[in-house]
Amino acid sequence: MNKLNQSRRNFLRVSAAGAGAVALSAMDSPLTTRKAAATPLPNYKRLVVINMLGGNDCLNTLVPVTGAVANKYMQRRPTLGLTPGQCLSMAGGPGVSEYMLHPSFDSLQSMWNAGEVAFVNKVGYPQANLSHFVSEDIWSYGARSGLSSLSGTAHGWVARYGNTYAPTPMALVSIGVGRRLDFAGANTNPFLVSSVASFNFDNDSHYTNNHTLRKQVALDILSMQQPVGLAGEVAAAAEAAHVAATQVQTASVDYNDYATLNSIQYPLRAGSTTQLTNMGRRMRDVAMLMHGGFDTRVFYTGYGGFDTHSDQAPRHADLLAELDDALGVFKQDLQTQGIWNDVVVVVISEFGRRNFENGSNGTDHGHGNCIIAIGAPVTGGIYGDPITEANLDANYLPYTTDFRDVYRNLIGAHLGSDPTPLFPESQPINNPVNIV
Amino acid sequence: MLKNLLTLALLGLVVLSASACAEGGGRSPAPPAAHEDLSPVKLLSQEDRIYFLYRTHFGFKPSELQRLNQMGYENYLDWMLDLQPNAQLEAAALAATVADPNFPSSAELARWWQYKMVHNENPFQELLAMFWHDHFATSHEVLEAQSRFWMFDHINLWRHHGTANLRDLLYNMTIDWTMLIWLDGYLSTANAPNENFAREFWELFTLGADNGYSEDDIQEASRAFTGYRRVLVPDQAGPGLDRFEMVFQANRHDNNPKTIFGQTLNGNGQGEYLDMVDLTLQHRPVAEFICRKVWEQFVYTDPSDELVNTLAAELRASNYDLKALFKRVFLSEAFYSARAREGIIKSPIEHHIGFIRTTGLKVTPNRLDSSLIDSGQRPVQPPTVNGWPSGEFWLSSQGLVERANFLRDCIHYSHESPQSGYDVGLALIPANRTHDAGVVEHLAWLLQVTLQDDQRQACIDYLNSDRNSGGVIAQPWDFGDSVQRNKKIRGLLYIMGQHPTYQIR
Repeated sequence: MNKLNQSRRNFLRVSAAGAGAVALSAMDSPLTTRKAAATPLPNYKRLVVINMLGGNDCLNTLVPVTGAVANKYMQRRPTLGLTPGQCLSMAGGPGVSEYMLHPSFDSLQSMWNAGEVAFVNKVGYPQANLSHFVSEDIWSYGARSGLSSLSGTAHGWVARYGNTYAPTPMALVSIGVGRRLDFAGANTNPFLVSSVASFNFDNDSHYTNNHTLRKQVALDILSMQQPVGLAGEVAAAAEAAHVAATQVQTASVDYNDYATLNSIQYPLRAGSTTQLTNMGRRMRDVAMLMHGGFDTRVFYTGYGGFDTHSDQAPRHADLLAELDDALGVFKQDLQTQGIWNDVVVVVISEFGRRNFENGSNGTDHGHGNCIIAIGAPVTGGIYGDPITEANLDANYLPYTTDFRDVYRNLIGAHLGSDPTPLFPESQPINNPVNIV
Repeated sequence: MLKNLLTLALLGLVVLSASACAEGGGRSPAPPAAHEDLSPVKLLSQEDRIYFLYRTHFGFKPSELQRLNQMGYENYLDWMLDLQPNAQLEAAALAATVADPNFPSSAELARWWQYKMVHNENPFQELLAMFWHDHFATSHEVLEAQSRFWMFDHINLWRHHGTANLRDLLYNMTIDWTMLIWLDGYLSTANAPNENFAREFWELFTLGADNGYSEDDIQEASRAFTGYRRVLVPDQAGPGLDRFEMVFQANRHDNNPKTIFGQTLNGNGQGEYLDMVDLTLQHRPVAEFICRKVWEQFVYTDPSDELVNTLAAELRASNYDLKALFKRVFLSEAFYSARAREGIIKSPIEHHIGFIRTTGLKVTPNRLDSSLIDSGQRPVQPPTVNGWPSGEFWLSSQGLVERANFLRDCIHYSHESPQSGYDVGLALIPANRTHDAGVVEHLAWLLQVTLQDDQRQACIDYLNSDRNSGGVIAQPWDFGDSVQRNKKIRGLLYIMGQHPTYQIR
């Protein structure tokens, strides 16, 4: 039996991927196509998922500030609770006056005021699980009951999307968050990198010239490999990695010129004049690949530190500021590229936190959480069932919107693909939301 | 062959092949397909032995082949499957990588194990431990400074008992301190049983998803798995030296009877952890689940149910003797079948450690660890309770770039650099193989890379050229020139380490 089903796993040639993908110069490879400098694909819808790893405290992100709900909130969080005086106001709309934004969210505030931000309250899934790992897996699978509902399909929801609607090598991109299960089972070889800069073949300064020759011979040998069997499959993947590395590094050079010319400067780490914050670097990498003309549909990135069991207030403020600052530049960048209208950013987290603060000025793992969606295609507003006094009296926020209903909306209304086959598991709560 | 049969008979493991059993009417039965043939393998060629080493070790070294040839295959298997602690290796690993064994850092834990992978003269021990560690995946990430030392015992459970009795292994696993943290066992009490461990105990560790248990069974089992608590034990030696221990506290345990698989499990305190293992082994196909996984790790994916059932029946009959199972697998014709030899994608650990062991080009523990992190397979740190991805998932774009960059690290940073006296050419190339084609053939053999004719010629051409700022220039191969020798053999290792067949074991 031949387990190497080439139709199942298809390493498409990278050069066919991005319309503006940049040529390999000086390499006479069949993969080479010469193209002019890259431009972003026009009218091309993209989704950027940002995962706040560790469990973001939604109650201190979108803060209840009026009436009995606010009183209950302050009662449950005597030291961590944020007062209206500390928070940022939100303009207009029904139900909006009940909430304010965390003080770190100044960029988000201006996007909110432009009608580009949606919050969905009380998002989760059935039978909340308090383990980071299990809960993250549930979000990655897009299924609550393990893998049983996904038999015969890819395990990760991003992979299922790619296999069904976007089977090209650069369609699915993950930056800085490892080999997430969201990508497990992708038929093409998804582009999973810790950073664009790291996706590069290192030089060898002991033998600089000879190393250039070695790299070339290694690539030549890959392209000689007969396309047969497992070795043929490996060769195709490795060759694609070589080509992608060259294209991505070329795109990086182009992007740097563009960013300098347009004064696009992502946020720097405190005290550094060169090093970007994690989210600054990752959002810059996302924008760079868009600028390079790659045909990516789903970008997945994120950052950790949200497991704030202790000393939460300053840590949470820094984390939200890191995101907010990066998103502010990201919007400027995409507007300059002329693609701000084609991108939705969705911010998720594996669970929320307990309604009451613990004895260490922190909060423990919770259930219901909020999702934030940002972008010109978004219809700004607050979605999902409002947070009630009774909700806060309990220990855990309930969930009244399944996270998959948010994904369905983004995939259907924004990416323009029928989400039905991507989430086959039946849900006890079906509460469609229309944020796009 | 006779000796093999006798040994197996003594182990009570001889099962006539399926075709022989089916014989009834005098018609001669069809022999089993080679890839399903569990009968003992006949005489092994040198290539067969190298294939065996390459599949079950980290790459292979001529010294390992020599040992195998001297001992004979069966004796080698016995030696390899005997996982007694090697005091010298244990001490050396600790000394080389851990500053304070009472309070190791997570990086030290990872390097401590990586050191053993590089240095163990029985690399199967580490490869097998990784197999179990992947199967019963737990991560140091849930441990704190005061409990991180638990990970030594946790990893040694797989290292020292990986071929022991499966029942014992499961017993130890259920009450392993790291596991009790990892899957919330220590939070699971009579008043608030936590289902996390109960679910994974069946779904991931013993049966597979939805394979013969219900949600009710999980709820009942989670009551059986209650009672452990983590306590901080004061250290007399001084402040800041307290460490965590796990204790069983009877009043946290739900000692009422439970109904699981339609059977009654009576209250038995701490003993219920072991009773749960027994109950599951007795009533559910654990042996099938484990045999399939072992087969897929070492032989090929998607074995037939028939084959798995045969192995599972034997495992049960031997009262879960894993050593007998492994021996049976490695002695089978099926292990040497063409289908098995189609190959399995190497994980980053198999790729990295194998390259170091075969070439002798070592990098610092720090650099090896960071490359494994970048490659997504740092031991002691699986991404989820489901362990690491496998197979084709390792062919991700960055994974392959990272493999090349690791090779580059080995040839660039190697402790044993030309400057420090490690002459990789003299170390690896026999005196009668120093001509260009000989070097290429020998390195391809060492790395078990299969070169097509055009690829072999490209390697020979590489040895006979160099590059300057103007481009590629001719530079005829001269093994006697130590500078050229080290530069080009390192380069050839970089090239061959990226060969598609080197990514397959």
